[in-house]
Amino acid sequence: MTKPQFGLDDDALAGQPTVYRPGLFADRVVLISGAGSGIGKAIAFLFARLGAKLAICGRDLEKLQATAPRLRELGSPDVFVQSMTIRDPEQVDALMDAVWTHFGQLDVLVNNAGGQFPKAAIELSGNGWRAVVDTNLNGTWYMMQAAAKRWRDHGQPGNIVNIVLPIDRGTPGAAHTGAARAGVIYLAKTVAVEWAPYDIRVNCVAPGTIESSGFQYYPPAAVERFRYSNPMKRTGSVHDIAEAVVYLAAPSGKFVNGETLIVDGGSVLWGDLWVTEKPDYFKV
Amino acid sequence: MTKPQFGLDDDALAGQPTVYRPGLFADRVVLVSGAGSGIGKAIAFLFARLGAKLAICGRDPEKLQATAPKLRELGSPDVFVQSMTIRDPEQVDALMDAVWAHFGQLDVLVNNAGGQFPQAAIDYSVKGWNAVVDTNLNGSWYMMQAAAKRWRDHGQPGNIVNIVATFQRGMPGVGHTGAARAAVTYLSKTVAVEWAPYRIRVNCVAPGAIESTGFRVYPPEAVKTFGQANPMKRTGSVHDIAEAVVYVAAPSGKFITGQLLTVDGGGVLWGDVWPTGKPDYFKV
Amino acid sequence: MSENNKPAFGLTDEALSAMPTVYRSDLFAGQTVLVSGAGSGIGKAIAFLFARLGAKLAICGRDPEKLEQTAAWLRKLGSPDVYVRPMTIRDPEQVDALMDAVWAHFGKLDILVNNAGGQYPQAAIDFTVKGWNAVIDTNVNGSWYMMQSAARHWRDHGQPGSIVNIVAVFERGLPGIAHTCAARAAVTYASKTVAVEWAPYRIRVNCVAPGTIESTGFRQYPPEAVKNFKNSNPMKRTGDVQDIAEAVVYLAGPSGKFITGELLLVDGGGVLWGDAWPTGKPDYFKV
Repeated sequence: MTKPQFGLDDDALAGQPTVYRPGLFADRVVLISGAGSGIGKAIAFLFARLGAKLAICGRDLEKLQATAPRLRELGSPDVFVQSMTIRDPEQVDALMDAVWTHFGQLDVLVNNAGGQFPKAAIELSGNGWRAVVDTNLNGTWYMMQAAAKRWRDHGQPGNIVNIVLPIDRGTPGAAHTGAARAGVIYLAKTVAVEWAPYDIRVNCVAPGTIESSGFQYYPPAAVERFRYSNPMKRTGSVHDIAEAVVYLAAPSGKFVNGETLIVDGGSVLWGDLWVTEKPDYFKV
Repeated sequence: MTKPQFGLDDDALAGQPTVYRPGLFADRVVLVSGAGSGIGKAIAFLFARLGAKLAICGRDPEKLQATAPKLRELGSPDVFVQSMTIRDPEQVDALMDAVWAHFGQLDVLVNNAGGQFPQAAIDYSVKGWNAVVDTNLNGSWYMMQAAAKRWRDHGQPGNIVNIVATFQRGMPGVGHTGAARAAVTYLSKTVAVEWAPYRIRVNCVAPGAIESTGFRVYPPEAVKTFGQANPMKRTGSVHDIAEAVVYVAAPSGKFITGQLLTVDGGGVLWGDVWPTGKPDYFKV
Repeated sequence: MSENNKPAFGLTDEALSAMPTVYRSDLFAGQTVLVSGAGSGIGKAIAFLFARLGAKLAICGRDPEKLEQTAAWLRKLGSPDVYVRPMTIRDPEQVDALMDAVWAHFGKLDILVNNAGGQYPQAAIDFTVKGWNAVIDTNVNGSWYMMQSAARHWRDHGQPGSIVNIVAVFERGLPGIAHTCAARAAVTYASKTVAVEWAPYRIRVNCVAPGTIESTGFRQYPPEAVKNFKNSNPMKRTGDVQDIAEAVVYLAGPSGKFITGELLLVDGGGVLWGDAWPTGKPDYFKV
């Protein structure tokens, strides 16, 4: 296998040291969207190593099928694969039905699927705007609600972790996704309250500049700058995000609800992230 | 009069256009701390132009005595002056007693007095740290509580506006004041709730890089960058802060309490302020 | 609207037009302001205040009758020129046509107030896909089309601009209206992003978040929920539409010239204490 241009290859990822104890997710079922690559795959790898049964979904069946045997190797006793898009509420319902049919339960839903493209806001097309809002905000909502309904109807407790972005200072060069992720963050806070009676916790993890295969979608000059966008002056690893998700999903997070955990090396405090080429005006 | 090195001279300040109607504060009494210079003087000037009776305090009697006749000229029907330090709770009590003895009422308290010196946090002395926390946090608190007690005891509604700073991203180079201003802001949120039964509103205004005589305490190379530290790429005016204070203090703000109004040209979103001068490490 | 026709909630037009204001009467002389959703409630209050301060006005909304009634008032209140355009912000082509028409009519725009929007109370677990999408489309996409279209016109004409978006107090979530919570948060953070991106074009972008403001909009909530609204903030009262209008003027006008990317809450402190529950409070939360 050739080394990827960005991020960790599968072996390196599988060998990342973890703070968590083996067996932490024994007999637990975790569903991860967008698990075929990048951060989603890292999350799936870690849950597998901790003994979870896994359901993974995503749009690219090949990538999922390549990931599934690795998850079994790493220790997951049961891996269920379904290719689908979260943008279609009927496919979301079908996925959830399939998960409950297969496992009889779901313990943790990790909404990792999502995406965007860098573009100056003034140049965004209507279609481009809507596509990003539809995937990241609507798609995530369909998943959240479909899981919540089933937890309520089965009388089972639930646990949702949404992967978002640090939005605190806006997201210049990616206004569409900043808007969508803000929507998800505050939606999570709302249903953290509304769904507390059903014993469902809802939290978010906001990764800063995390080196992953996703870097290939950005201009090389922007990527070069990414590591200067936080006071640590380096990028994070997909494994940092996986460990944050586990923290919230595991009993360690059992009193955390409605929270957004930012894993960004401090970039909301200092640093300048332009996912497009940086406009001259801002070169100071 | 010689032109000041930074900010507006008295005539320029008095001639700033205002959005507010004349007479807005007729028969109202406003107490402004630190009114002898900079932002505090600008606040006092605007309230005077809008017809308010004024009480001004500060440590330097000469500056206050120079400010008072200007306030009368600008339209304040009654100006009361008391030199004191907010760091001494007994002097604060004496000030409040004097205000009530003189005017029989107080409508608005503007806690503007405060200050800091730029220094790397690792080099703070205990004395330097304590001085900044004592003035900005303890001093503001003595003023807030002393006013609130009298409002409660006289059955009068009250209104507090605290001048703080843009601490949202931390304040490298002035960490002590960042801590103290955050403390004042969240204290304000707390008593906005606790004191709502007494009909006391409590809000804060956070000035970003506002050009004033206060710029003199910073190294010239730092001052040069202040106008680049927000997306508007300019400094604000002390009058911008005065108009913000009036907005929240006046009936326009009658449904606002516990709020922090940031007036910083967007500096919390983009830009880099280093009051100590930017360390090489952060030159990226 | 006469006294015997008093609205169930909020102010009559007469009462609204007579609300005291802190601003000087010629503040917006020579300026053009576009207000969406200006036919009722908060939008109408914003348009009224700008008219009283001398602004030329463009107003849009879906209901032509309401807009015409508002326009007559705006002229009476002192607006030297009122342009009316019924349309929906959900259609980007109608938005572009609106902006073209505003520029054709006035030659410029100084201030855009994105007030149009809306929601209905429902437990999130019962939302339909259609209901969710409608709220997202109006509040997020519609506001975006308006922002971007105005910004493009400002850039192309080399004119500075100022945008104020009316959102909601979403910081603690909004149980009972989860869709609008997501949508308003999205608009707020889009505003923060473009406050930076569009600073080179001298465009300021800010938001105002009204708490429980008594307006005709109260009619869509169950009476038992409305009864509790005044207890949803530490002041234990509702705000009025004029509170929001004055906040918009403060940010849009020269008073706000050093403010961009800001979210101004006008909520009586509701974000700190209180419990709104537009659907009525579920038993679980009666503590």
